[in-house]
Amino acid sequence: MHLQSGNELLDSQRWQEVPGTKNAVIFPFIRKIDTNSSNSYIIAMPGAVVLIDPGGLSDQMDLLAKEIESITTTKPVSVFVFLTHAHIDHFLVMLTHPFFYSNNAVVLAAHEKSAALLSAADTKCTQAELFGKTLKPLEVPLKFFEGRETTKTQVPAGEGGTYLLEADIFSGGHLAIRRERFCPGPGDSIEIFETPGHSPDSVCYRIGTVIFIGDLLFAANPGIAGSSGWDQKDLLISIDEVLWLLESEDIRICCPGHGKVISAGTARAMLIAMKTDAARLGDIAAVTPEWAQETARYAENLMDRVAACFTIMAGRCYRAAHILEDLEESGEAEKISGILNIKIIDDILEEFHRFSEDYRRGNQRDVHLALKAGQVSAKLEHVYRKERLDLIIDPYLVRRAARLLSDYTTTLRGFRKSVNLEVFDPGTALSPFIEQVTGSNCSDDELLALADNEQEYMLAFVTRLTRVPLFPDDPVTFEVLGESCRTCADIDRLEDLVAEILENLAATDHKGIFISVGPEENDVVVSIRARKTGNELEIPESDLIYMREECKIAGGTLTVSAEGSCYVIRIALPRVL
Amino acid sequence: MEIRKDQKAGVAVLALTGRIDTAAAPELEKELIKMIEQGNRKILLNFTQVTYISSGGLRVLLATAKKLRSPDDRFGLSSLSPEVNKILKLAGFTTIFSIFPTNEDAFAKWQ
Repeated sequence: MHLQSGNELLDSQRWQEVPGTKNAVIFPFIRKIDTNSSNSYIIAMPGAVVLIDPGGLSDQMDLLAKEIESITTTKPVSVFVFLTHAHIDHFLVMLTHPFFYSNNAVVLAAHEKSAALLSAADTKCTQAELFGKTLKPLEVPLKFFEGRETTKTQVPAGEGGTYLLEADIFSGGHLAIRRERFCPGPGDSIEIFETPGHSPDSVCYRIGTVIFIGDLLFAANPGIAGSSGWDQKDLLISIDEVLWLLESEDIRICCPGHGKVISAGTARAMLIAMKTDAARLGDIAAVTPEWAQETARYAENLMDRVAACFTIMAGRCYRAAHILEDLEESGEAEKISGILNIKIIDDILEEFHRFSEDYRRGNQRDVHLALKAGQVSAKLEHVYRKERLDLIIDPYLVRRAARLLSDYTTTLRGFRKSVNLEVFDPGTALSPFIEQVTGSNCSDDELLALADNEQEYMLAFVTRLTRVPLFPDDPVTFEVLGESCRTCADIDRLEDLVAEILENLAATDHKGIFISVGPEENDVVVSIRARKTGNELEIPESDLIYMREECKIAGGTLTVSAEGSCYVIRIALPRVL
Repeated sequence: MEIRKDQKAGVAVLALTGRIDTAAAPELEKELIKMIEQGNRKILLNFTQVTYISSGGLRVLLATAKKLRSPDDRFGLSSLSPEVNKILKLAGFTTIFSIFPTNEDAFAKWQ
């Protein structure tokens, strides 16, 4: 083993001293974050070698085994595997790697609840079922928190040795954490703290000024919160307890189960932020294989819609820039071409498409696709600056893109999509919206009126170029039938739905669009009629399912039918007196 | 994306297959530039097998339309899939270059 001088945090794949210890050294194996495998950490002390979380991948374990054997071949010493919790990405490799089944000196140690899950080969709490993995029973000879309190126990070790395990309650103020201390001999020891929430068996380990925090930092993340064994109440308590630990103890380095090693200060800030998130997660849906399947299907459909929406917006900008260049307004053309960050957006969408193709080939599970879409959605939300856009591009498209992304994040979090139900008169409310979607956005007269002000004129002119009326040669008729009536629905979602229907009609060259709003028995019906033109009204089945679902969320029901020479799309909303 | 080239009725026809995404758009642009440099002034892109066009693809179409704007030049698209047709229509591209139901419609119109 060759020791190099350390830096403030720990480097991956090199041996370094464990800060705050007499003679413990550490070999971290830090991975890019994914769901296949966790980080691993080897800690070598004079009396034992401890491998925290062997992970889920063979090649990772090959390297770890080589490092462990470089110690044990020169000095026979027991090897312990400590699990932060029994999720498959932290231990699965133990079921297959020769290092474990050919080496009797390796002692598996974990929370007694982990031991119960592993011994029963529980596929739910270990997430094996969610990620499509099979398990076989795994015995845990050294169980933490097995009813010992403020006692000292000799625990068995490989090859007949025994080690001391002390138990007590670490308390201060109103907080008290169950703690055990693993003492492999004189000198350094490893403390074990019970921190459930992410899973019932989650623990943190601490040696010197370093804490191994497992997946606590990710426990409020979409697709993770709500998984089998996740518990909001326990999580909130554990966050408080770990925050208190970080503040009251000399802990400087935090080693997470996934991703880079961070400072204790960063971990504190992350825990404070996630506590707010975790507090909101009271009634999230359970993350199950069925949930994953449903969410993956939704993700694919949604990303197609997101791609179409951004492509249409970008196309409108390019078209406007093309015309501006013709008019020798190259400065404005350049500005409008770059307004959407479209190159970055295209790359992000392409990243999802490649992943989605891999999923269709059977190389990824439903849950992987659902999580990938969440990652992509978050990236898109980050680069999409809608406040810069709605002056130029049709506000309904700008709003739709933002809504699609936020709806996915909400769904992935296991919440219902946000619905803003209000009482309104759909006749009055829809009239200006339909004018905005179908009409010209800046008339010649309006443009002429602005001719004296160069800036305002240019903005109005660019807006006129970027907004594309859906039926330029065939005005849409809008009529309120009968008495004025009110409904209770989400007006923004209703408008988006009407816009999508009109887009489908425009794309298939339908003419004679007649939109009416009027009472029918207990409903207020928004009816959109289009004259048949020889082109079928081909709304893809997936779009239709999506639109029906959106209509339901908005507060209504959607039907599509052919009546004589017309297609009729009806949105029935509840009538409110 | 695959590009199959053909010459018919004095028109260079490029039959495209696959997705015109961020990776394929530069490839298409390169091919179109090459064809124009070789003297092809009537170009028809057949989209029968194209199910997706990215904004990068749209930019290539505009750039090509810009290069083929002399009175005798022709640039058009044929046999659009419903998905691509919808994008082009809603982006306002159908007023910039000609779109034909089939290759034959384009040949007849460009005679």
